[in-house]
Amino acid sequence: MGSIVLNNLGKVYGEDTVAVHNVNLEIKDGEFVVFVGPSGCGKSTILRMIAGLEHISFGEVIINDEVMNNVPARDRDIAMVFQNYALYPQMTARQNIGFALEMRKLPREEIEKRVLETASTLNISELLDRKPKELSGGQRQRVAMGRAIIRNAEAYLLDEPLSNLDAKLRSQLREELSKLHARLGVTMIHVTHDQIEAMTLGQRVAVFSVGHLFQYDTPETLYKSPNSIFVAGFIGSPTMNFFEAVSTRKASELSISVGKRKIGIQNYQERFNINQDGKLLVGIRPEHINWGNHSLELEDGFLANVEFIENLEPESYVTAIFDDKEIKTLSSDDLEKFSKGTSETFSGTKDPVITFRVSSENLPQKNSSILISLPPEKLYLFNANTGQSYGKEIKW
Amino acid sequence: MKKGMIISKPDFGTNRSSGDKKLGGRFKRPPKTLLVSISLMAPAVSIFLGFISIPVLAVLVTSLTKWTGFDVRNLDWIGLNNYIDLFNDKIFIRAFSHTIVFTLATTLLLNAVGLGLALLVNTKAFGTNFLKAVLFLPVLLSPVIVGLMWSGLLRGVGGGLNIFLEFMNIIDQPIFWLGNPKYALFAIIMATVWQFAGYNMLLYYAGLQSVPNSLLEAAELDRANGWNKFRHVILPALYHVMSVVFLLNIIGGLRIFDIVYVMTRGGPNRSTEVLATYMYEQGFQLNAMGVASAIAVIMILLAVFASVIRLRLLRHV
Amino acid sequence: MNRKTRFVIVPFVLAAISFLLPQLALADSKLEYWTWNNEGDYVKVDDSAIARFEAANPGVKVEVTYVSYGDYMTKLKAALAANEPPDIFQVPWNSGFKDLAMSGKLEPMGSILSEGFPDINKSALSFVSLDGKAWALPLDLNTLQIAYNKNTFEELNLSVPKTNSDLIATAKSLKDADYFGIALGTKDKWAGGDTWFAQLVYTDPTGMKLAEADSGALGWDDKVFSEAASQVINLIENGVFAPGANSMGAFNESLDLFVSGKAAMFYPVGNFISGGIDAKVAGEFEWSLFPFPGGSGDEPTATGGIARMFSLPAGGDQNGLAADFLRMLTDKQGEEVLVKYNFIPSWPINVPASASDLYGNFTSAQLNARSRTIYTPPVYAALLDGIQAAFNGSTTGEQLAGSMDAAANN
Ligand SMILES: Nc1ncnc2c1ncn2[C@@H]1O[C@H](COP(=O)(O)OP(=O)(O)OP(=O)(O)O)[C@@H](O)[C@H]1O
Ligand SMILES: [Mg+2]
Repeated sequence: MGSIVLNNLGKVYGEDTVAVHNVNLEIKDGEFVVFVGPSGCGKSTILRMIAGLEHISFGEVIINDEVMNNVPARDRDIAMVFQNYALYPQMTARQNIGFALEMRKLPREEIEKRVLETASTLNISELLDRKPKELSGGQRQRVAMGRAIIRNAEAYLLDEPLSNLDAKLRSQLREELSKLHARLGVTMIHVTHDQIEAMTLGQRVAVFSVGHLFQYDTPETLYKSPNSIFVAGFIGSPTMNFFEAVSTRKASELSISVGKRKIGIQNYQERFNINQDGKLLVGIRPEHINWGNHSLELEDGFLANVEFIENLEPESYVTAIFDDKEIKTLSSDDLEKFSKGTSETFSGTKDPVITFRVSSENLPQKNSSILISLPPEKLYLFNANTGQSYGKEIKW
Repeated sequence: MKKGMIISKPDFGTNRSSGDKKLGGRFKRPPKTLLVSISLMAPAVSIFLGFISIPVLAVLVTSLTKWTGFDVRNLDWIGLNNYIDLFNDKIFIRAFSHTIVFTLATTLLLNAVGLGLALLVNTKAFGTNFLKAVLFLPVLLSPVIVGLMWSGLLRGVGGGLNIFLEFMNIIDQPIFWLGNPKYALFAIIMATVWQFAGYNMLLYYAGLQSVPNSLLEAAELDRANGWNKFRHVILPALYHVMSVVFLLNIIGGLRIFDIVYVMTRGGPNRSTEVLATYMYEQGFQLNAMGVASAIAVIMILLAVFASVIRLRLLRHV
Repeated sequence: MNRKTRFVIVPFVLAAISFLLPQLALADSKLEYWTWNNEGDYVKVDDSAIARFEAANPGVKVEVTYVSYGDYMTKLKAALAANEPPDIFQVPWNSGFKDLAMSGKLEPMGSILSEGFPDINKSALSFVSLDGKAWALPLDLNTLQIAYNKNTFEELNLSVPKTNSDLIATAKSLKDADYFGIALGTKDKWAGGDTWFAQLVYTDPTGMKLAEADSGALGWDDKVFSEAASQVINLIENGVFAPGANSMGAFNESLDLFVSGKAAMFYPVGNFISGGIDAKVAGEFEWSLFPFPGGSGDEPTATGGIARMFSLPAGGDQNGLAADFLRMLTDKQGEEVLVKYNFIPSWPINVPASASDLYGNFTSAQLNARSRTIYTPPVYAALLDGIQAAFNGSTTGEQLAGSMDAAANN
């Protein structure tokens, strides 16, 4: 079992395709870490550099305090589950699982014993004599897992092993994976681009975008204190709402004008490091928004028209358009720009739009006019140029 | 089963008087689908009949006669006598066994060399692209040219190989490679391998491109060495390609003619006689078309046997 | 096709047809002539005959089709089997001729040859006759002899060997001086077989037994046949031939040895190849010919046979014209052309004073040349295999003759 440290790790493909930029990250012995990020952000590349399947362009991979850069893959003692499982098609599940031990010239009885153990751990004892093509996707995934966990490796790397499965099976295997880790207590790195998977599985989650590590922390911290607009937008479903706003500091109150309205945040210094007035970006999660019927007077409410309702149980998503057309809300294109670093110009959405989550038992009428309130204590503030959070990091 | 159940006429609820019609309709359908399937099969069947079975049938018929090849009206039916005579013909038996030896040897060597070269070229190391092109060149040559080249190389006096061996002080008297029954067949095998190794290389090279990289990586992490990767990942992935290549090589070996004819004419003293050269001699030099046809039929049977074996083997994969 | 183009094309096609029809009718009388000799002086002989024939028969064209020797019999057989034979065709002079003659597809030539043809030599006529009928016109003849390098012979003070023991002694002297003896390529089996025919000249002084055995009247295990083989083996064992005979073709690798001077002798040489040898030697040395020798006291005698011969299709409707064409090859002017290019006509001629040494040698050797043909294919094949075995040192004279006999009785 081992700890893994990535020290300024970088990867350049060809002449100038930088796939991974200076990643610094530490994984403790026995930890379950998830790498998450949009497609093409370099997750697999990092995983492959750890495993030794990819040449390291710069920086270091350190396993158990030993620099591994020049150690060939076969000597790194890393086990990996590939995205497509990479099972040997001509071998039975039994042979697939036992292969690594066979290559290590273990005695036959020992191999047989451990294969049976592993198979029962993964609930595939009955499938041992089948070949991969005779197995379902989930069964194959388990055989691939078995092939990895039968070894006493330093670390187990899983590259999107669940991405090919249907939703039900995926959540079931997610659970099994969690249990497995709890039982084995080994170091595991799990790669996914599904943020829900990341949040439910990882003890710590590393969020990547275009080769950069944005934030590496517990799921809770990522949710409650995202360090950037990218992480804030990436974690959580539906995505956080963002508005353009102007802030003015008044003693202990921070006054934020969104369109024609002003929102006051009391004792703002406790939560934010903000030393200037002017343009910034405000974020609020859909689950933190309150609403009321037009007739109900809500303090500091925004008038809006219900545009669209996504009916789910027990909570539904409501999309509404502000009456105040001066409000500028960020589009997904704008968020995309932040994922690549900074953005100074926003195109915004055509109409100022907001999405929020409500109990399905109490839904607004479609096309009705409603009042929306944004609780000041639930607001996130970001630098409009760099996308960095003004929030003080709070450990939860 | 009870009698009434066999018919199991579907109950449509209303028992209309047009029951007979319905029955008729049900029986009309099969001829229609038959017609369709016949018309769909027609192209394949006619190609098979026109290009394969009719010539094969003609050879089969001829093999039962004592035809000299001049006049079709003078067919002398002699039943299976040509075949019986062949199996009592020492030269035929030799040609047969040479063909088998040649086919097995070239097939094994071609596959070993072709696969080896493919693996080499597949490293994509510097110069392998050039190598790939160069190694394929002999395939483009006609076997006659290759035969002439090798005859020149293996000449007793002034041949490249002897000059080299003399220079290296390995021999002091020239060896007449093609004039010596001990070496002649071996020399032809070598020339054939030389010519077609590039062909096998290319087929295997193409096959290697479909070996999943992740399997090789998985094997690397499982700590498989080069040989084990080859055995457990590359070879299984090439199994289908290999079966086709083997079959092509075997059929090519069974019908080998040009290179033998050019290099040795089947000699000396029949030591390199193969089925095709003997067939040629019987048919076109000795005017024994019936005997030649019988040899052709035996060659066809051998080829069919090879492909049946291939299908049998593939069934278990 | 739209209407307008049809309007233009239809009259044009009609005009073309009406123009071509008379031409077709004229070109209808043509003679199809097949040969494989598409290079060297034979082409000149043919061209001269064709020119004179077409001048004498206006409206008749001779259409020459060259078919490579390798494909010749296959194609000829196909044409004969399909009853669409050429009007005149060269026929190969090998063991396959018998089947061809017996196929019923050839016109018997007896009555044709009796009108307007020279008196063909009896021996030549007998070569093309089976069942008492002639099946082809033998145009010219060749003899097979040993070529030798005059310069080397002079240098080593050697004279032309008259007996086998002379030949063995000559080969020994050559070997001592680092030369090979007779370069012979037996990969093309026929050339090896000719050493046996050369010895048969001496082991069968009657000259009758070959034909007798071929017709089944005599066994091939007769002493004269095994003795001829034993003589060949004796020569081989005494180093008369350049080594590696079985690895060489009749006229390539083995001839190279002679041309390059490594071998002082070369076999077999007839007038058909002498021009080629001259071209290759290119004046590097002088060479001449002597008949393959035999036992002591025997007069050295060459073997020989027919070089080119022609047949007509059985009952061919143009056979009259075709015979006229053949006459152009054999009449006085035809003879002059043959002699001009050093071919030996199959009828008696007066050798002109201007003729070369070699030509004189050929024609005189031809007078008593002995046959080199076995008409029974399996027997001939057994002979050729046996000679290759002899060159590998794996047979005896008795075994060789025995295998010929076995082949005949199979
Ligand atoms: N062999 C290569 N040559 C050049 N560029 C490459 C190569 N492999 C990957 N890349 C690039 O490097 C970047 C990172 O790729 P990587 O496979 O690590 O992404 P990923 O995060 O695993 O994406 P996904 O979630 O889709 O699997 C991508 O932009 C990709 O195009
Ligand atoms: Mg990936």
